[in-house]
Amino acid sequence: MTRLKDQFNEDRRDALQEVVNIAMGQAGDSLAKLFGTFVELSIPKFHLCDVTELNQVLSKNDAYVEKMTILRQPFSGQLRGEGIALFNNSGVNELASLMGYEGEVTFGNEREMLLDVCSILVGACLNGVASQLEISLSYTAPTIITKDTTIEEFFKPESIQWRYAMIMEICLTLEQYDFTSNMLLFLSEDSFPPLMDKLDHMLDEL
Amino acid sequence: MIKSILVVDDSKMSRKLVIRALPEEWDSPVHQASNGLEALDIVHDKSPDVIFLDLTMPELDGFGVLAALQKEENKVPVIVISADVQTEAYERAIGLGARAFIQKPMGPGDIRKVVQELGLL
Repeated sequence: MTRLKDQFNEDRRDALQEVVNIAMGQAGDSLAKLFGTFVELSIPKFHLCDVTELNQVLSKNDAYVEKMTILRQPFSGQLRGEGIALFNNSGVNELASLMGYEGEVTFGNEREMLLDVCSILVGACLNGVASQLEISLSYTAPTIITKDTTIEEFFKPESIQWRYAMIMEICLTLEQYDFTSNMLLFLSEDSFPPLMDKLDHMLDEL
Repeated sequence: MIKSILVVDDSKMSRKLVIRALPEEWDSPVHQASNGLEALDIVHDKSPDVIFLDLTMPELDGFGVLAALQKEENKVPVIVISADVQTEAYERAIGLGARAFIQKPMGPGDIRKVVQELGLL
């Protein structure tokens, strides 16, 4: 793990953070168009850790204390992993009005809205990353993993298929709405060498 | 005549990309800042003739820098270069006095085109 952390030197981290920042800008724009309101984007935070340290790393963010709805969108290709979208429960309640639903929101409507938003958010972000790194990725349809749970309850090391987690943590908030979404990108261990090659290529061109 | 330039971005890679894309005719010192507070210090200390400004940054973001410059009635031309490509981000930046807005990722020649349009070249 130390070796992996050392390999992700400051320049590579900076380059990856900027790639994700640009990709999230595109994802934020897609959501802003869907919701018709300004989406405030946080600076992406980069963490590289063993999955056993995951809760410790994520618990530093106050946003993860409350109960959430968690969705997953796996991807594969030259990089393999999954995007995890986390929505605060109050934000889920706001989705209906944001997306122009009128009347009672059924379980089916809510599910459809969450899957749509996850697909736009994670899809736009990954497309942005792929186009900048000049790689191809394919996506599996998003699924709702769980509702009404906290990060600590959800991320149990034994339930995660990866040994290491490279997490890009991004927060989106909407003005005038109690809506917050955090997105985490997990990468498989075998994705690190090709990713570092691509980042080095970008850095070499400077 | 551009005598000094300020490039503000929290990403070192982005600052390098901007500096590499500056018109070669500008043989002037380039100052760098990685957040809005550092940027304002350099503005007060070095009085740059043009600023290339990112929006999403720690400490003080680009909107905060634009607001501070507007409050000080500082007319230095500011060109925003941002990954936040929402229409509202563009409108806010222009409303706070930015002279132009370049979307990230920048295309080759974007900076040259904008500085020519602004009459800075």
